[in-house]
Amino acid sequence: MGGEGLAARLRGWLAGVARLSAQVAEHRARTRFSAQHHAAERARRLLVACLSTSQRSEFERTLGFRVRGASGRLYRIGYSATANIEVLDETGEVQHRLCAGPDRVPTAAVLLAQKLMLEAREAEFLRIAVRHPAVIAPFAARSLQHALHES
Amino acid sequence: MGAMNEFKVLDPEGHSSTTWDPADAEEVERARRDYEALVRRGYRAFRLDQQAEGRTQERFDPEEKQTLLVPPIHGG
Repeated sequence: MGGEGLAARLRGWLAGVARLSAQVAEHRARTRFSAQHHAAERARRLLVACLSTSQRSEFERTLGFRVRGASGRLYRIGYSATANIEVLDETGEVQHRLCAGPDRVPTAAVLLAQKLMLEAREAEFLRIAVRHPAVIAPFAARSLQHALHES
Repeated sequence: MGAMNEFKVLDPEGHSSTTWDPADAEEVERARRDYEALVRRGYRAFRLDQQAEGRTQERFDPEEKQTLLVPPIHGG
């Protein structure tokens, strides 16, 4: 076999390896996406099952729900994992936002953790949470994009 | 087999479950060990009342139908 024949075989072999690598990468990406989607859906189902009737109805309409802490203070938890808790005053105006939650869980699991903490361990939650201004438009836009991407 | 009780742990997969038959002492003990190991790692335990409001659970209750365990939370 001449040098050109060998080079052609080598090119063919390399092209085959490249195709196989691309197929493996695509398969991995699909598997990862599918696992993330499955986890997000599993977390969402548990969240919905743990909401009261009025919270569930509000969540279905707005992707958020209100929670009353033991102190009587009202919060609104929105569908995001970042600064997603609005602290409301008596008129429903947002005073400021809070950010705290468990790491490495789907967004719906973050919301469930926040609901449980605010309803049952409000003081502890407030000690841990970081306070943010009421209006954080760029964050809100990114969070909404994230929520839409995840759902 | 009697009715199964469970605790659910929020995790990267959404949640995982541990179930036990409250009439089976061995299963109860196994669930108690797992529960207490998580609490030692900073997990917080809750149950839901009849209005679906979260209530703190201070210790493992083998008779509780469903308990929720939340990983430690961090401010951000």
